Amino acid sequence: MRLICSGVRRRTGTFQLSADAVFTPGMHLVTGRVGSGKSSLSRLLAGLEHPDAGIVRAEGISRTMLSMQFPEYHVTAPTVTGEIRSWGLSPDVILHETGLAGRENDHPLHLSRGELKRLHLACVLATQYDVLILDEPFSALDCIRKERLCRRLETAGNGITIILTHEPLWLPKTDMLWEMDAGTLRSLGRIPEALLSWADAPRPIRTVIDRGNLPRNITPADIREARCRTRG
Amino acid sequence: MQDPRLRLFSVFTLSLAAFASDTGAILALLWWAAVPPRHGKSIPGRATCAIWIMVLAVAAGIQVTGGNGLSYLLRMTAVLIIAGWAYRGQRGGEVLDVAVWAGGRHAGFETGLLAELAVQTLRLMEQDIAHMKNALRLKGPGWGVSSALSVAQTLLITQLHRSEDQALILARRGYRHGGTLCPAFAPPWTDKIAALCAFSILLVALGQFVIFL
Repeated sequence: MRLICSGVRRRTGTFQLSADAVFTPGMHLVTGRVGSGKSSLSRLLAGLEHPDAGIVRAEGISRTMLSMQFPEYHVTAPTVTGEIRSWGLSPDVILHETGLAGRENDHPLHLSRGELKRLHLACVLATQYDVLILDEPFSALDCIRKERLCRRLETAGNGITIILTHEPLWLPKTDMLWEMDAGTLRSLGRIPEALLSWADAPRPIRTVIDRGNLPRNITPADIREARCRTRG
Repeated sequence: MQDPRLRLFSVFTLSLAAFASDTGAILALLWWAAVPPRHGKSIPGRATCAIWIMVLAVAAGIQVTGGNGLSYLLRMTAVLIIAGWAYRGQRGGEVLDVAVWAGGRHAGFETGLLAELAVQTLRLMEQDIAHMKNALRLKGPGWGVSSALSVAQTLLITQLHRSEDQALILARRGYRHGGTLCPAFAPPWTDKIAALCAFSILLVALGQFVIFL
């Protein structure tokens, strides 16, 4: 099972996106500054948009899901219950899980951004996909929900999981690290070695690396362990 | 065409001309083909094509029941193409500019504001539909009768909520009636010639219509 970007180029106005990459089963983290092209890349990988040049090839993949940055883009039903059903899921389970019981008949866009994001992620994660692409999944979530999401993603067992985010703290255990730099996707390699070449690493990770302690991974627990590690 | 006043005038006269006679419709289409598009392509979009299919069905019905369906199809095609051309060439704020220029600070401003909000709503609905199409594709079943009904209902409710929000914002900002705006227009000579041609087409079409009567 592989998702391959071969010579992918896409121009939007003056912005040029380019990607040459092979995504294999495991957790992939694509980082990059706001406006670096992460969302455009996610739409190309999910097949919602097509490149001007090159090809995105899915080998051995039958089901792909993209969770877009803005959860309102996924809303296709006028009630919370209807929205859950539009994902082919049972409302009872999702309502209980998201704490939205009693709001079955509300319009999804009347939920707060955090509630809508929770509802959306619960619907996305209730099904297994060969490729799961999550564009800024941590936005609009509080720290507790971010941590829960990380644990959930680590145990979800999806084939290829690609997370595109600039979240600095709450990150799940990751296999491969990628960086979007002004529209160009670069592979930094496997974690933890990749952390050494991560130019825009979040401050907690940068700090422990500068002290000579390479964390085993990028979860908050790994960073804590590296910070407390005794040298020698 | 750059000047929104002349564009609106041309659209009005050409629509009348196209609806009045077949010759008017053909001349309106020739006018559309000759006038360069303002932004990018001038060819009709998907929405125009979708409406055209409905027009085609009505025209077929008229033809089958003994009427002149071909004439109806020709005239309505011209009207649709001109309307689509005007919609794609329009920019935010232009309707308000024209309305204030034509109707002043009170009636003109309010009419313009209403029209501007309506056009903005149409553009937002276009974006909403694009997002919903993507969402349905990702969720699996894609477009169907039940999903189309659900999407239509969601669109309607979303627009009602949006209108309510807009009304609240206007009220909070202290809007009561009218407003001050000083629109400035600098029509190039090509716009004036195009508008004159559109008016000439209307005269020809109306002349034919009078002869027909």
